[in-house]
Amino acid sequence: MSGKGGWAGKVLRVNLSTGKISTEPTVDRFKDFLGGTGIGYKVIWDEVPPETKPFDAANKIIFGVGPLAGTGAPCNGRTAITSLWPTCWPVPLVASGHMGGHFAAQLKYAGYDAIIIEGQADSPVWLSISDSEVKIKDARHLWGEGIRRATIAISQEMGPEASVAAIGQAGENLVPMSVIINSYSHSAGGLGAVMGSKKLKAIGVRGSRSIAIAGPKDEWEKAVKLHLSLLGANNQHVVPSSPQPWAEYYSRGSRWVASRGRKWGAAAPPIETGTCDPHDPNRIAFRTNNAAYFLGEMAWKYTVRGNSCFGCPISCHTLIKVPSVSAKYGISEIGQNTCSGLTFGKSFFKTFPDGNQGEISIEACMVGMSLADDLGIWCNYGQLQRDFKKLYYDGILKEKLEKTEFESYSWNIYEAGNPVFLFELLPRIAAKDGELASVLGLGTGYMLEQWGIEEEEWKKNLDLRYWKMGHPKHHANEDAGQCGAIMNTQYNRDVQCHSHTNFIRNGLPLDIQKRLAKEIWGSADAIDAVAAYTPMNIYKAKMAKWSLLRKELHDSLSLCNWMGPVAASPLKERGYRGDDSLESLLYSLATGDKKGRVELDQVAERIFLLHRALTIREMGQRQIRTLHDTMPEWVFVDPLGKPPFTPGTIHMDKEDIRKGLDMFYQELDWDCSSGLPKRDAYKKVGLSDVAAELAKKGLLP
Amino acid sequence: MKEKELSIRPAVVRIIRSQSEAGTLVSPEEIRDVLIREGLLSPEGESHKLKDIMEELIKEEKDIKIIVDRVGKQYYYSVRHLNEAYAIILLKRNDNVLKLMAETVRENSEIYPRPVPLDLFMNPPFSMSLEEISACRKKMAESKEYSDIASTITSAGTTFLYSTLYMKTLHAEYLAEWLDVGQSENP
Repeated sequence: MSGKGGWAGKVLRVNLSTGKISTEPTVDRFKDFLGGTGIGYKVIWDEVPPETKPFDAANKIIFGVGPLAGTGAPCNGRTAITSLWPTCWPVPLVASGHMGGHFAAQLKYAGYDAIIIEGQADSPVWLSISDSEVKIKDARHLWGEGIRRATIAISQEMGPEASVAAIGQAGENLVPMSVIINSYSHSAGGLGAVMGSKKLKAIGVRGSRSIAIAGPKDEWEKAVKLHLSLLGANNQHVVPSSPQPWAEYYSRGSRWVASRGRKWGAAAPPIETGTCDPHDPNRIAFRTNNAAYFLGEMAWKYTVRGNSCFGCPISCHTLIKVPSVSAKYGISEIGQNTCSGLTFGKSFFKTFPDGNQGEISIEACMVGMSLADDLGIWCNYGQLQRDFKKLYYDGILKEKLEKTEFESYSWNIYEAGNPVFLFELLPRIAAKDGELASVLGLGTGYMLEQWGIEEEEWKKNLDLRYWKMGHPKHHANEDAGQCGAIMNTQYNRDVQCHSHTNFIRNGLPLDIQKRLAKEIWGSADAIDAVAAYTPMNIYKAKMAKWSLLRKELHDSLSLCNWMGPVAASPLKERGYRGDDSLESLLYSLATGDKKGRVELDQVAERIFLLHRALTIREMGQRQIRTLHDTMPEWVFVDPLGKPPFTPGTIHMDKEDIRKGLDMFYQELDWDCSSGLPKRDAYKKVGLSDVAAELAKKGLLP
Repeated sequence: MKEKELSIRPAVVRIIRSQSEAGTLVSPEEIRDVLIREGLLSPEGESHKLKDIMEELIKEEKDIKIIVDRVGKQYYYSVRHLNEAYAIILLKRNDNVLKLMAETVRENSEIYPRPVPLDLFMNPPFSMSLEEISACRKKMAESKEYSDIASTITSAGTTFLYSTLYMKTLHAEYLAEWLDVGQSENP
């Protein structure tokens, strides 16, 4: 290993067809791709033939972590899982799911930077990794069990320190809308069925080694303290949601919800969050309560505490205790999750008897978490629930389903907002029981195809938030206008990028945001006031490029993109500046491979470009701009007919977006007419070999 | 006596900082009362000594600040725990709540820009009752001075206020809905 620290040093390869287990040095082959998605894309590029389908034995699934995983760097708990994506429509292309929890750290402590799973087992197995002792074990007794039971069984065998990433019945049954979950609630969407196709129930990992830090101890500690000092609440929101004595600003939309008088009411005794002065690092975990943020004020009384991924002080998974659900629904009174995971059950319903933030809506959330996180069902950023409501309330289900199947569901219970309905629906999705459940489990693109519904219908509908290729938008034009919209054209699933939204929603006044924007992207014009957009300019293209590169950087280093980049901070004395070079500082100190901000961003560009090359190769098309980098029609329509660039609308102008894509491509040295990266773009980041392969296929401009 | 004076100063600093930590301003009279209760100052006389100590303290303790209300009454706070913006709200809360409400709405509409939910005023540091808020809104509606303060109601039923001096109605309506409903539905 040429690096002195950061990387664990080996990549583990497990062939489930042959049972062969081997290792290879990380740094020799993968250092230029860092880790995480970088390793994932590299393996898919080198080893998976373009015509491969997600459930083929030839497909591989790569669990990749980065040089910062398992270190003391804040928010390093991310594992990137890369494979061919089953819900990507009309053809499966490469994509990554990302999970927090403790898997990444344990994998590093066991001595590995990635696991490459290849082949298919003949019968159900699970993978046991305990330092250098790696075994493929019989999982027939676990097959058919939910994620919780599988996790407990494996933990009992391996010990409580083990982290278990498992699939539920949905993954086993090759339901494309399925997840992999570690530590009970930390899920990576979309890839459960790829594990299921390999008959791999779970991976349990525990390690006893440590991760070396190459740089001087005092400099490393200083860097970690700097990072901690600049953290906000979840999504790097840097002002509180209500006025606090220490705070100059506040913002209703901030996830920094702590305040004097607000208590984790189900803790024994209840714990007051306090005002959470940003200078006190020991109060960081009190800032965020995502149950209260997403489920409403009532969730405070049910809050036990925040739950963290490894190395993260933010604790965005909120653990709630709702005693009524135990007797009422026969489920655990404890639930935990974050964001869309918290609202999984609630989102199926239009209304509840006591309102959308009442007790029953919280019960629906508890039932949803209990079922989905055990069966291993993916929500596709809420698209599953939006599709379901649309299909039911528009009468499409009644029209498409056989009468007997339609009547087998208790629609009166559903319309009444009774969470009991979830016990009818969700297990059937996981079991592919009936046409409705099977179709919903396919993901939106294949669902529409199966039922002969034009994708354009979905693309016209603002409320559905459907974007393209079977997936929804994820922080598109509602966040940073053209920047968000352009970013959403780039991936083969929802974009999963938070770099831009973390900045736009940070809660600071516009003049401060503009000052910071000028420092990072070269002009205050890179950003606009929310919903008061101005026409496209080059600085918005630079922001879009920066946002995407930092996403890939985070997914490859194992830093949480839900908490970075740290472009702003809560510190008035710093003029609310964050530090745009934190990633390179931490990377350089951890690995001993000194790289500045610009150099490390170039590595991120290499990783991003490899993803682009994979997309182009798998599509086998030259016209990527019009076939792949598309936006749905709803982006260009205002429900009230307001013209673009009018305060109060977020919709985009087609000509302006055309210019915007041109600018974005030019920033990356891609051909504007086709969207194909030029040979020089590949060469610049050391991917001449990739360019040569694409050239042979006629896939260079 | 010198010894007593020496012990008064750290006590004053402590009182100001602890009050700021609790989210409140403190007046010289309140400081005096605490010092008397703690036996550091006699109830009779010595007020001039306290005044001298306070003047000296302001020069030397960089975190201790004075804020003065409309009629010239002084209050102390520590920026170590309590920001100037918060101190101004606390001051105005005791002075002219109608003006405070309008200025808060205007400031938010100008610098972000964004409307503010009505319940903002029910929580600290505003701590207004529903009756106070309703009375203020009634007065605003009747006074030309506040004719720029407008309201919008979201689909969830939350009322937001904004100033037409700085925000167009359609913008305010969009942002109110976004802040109240849209943002958590687009996580």
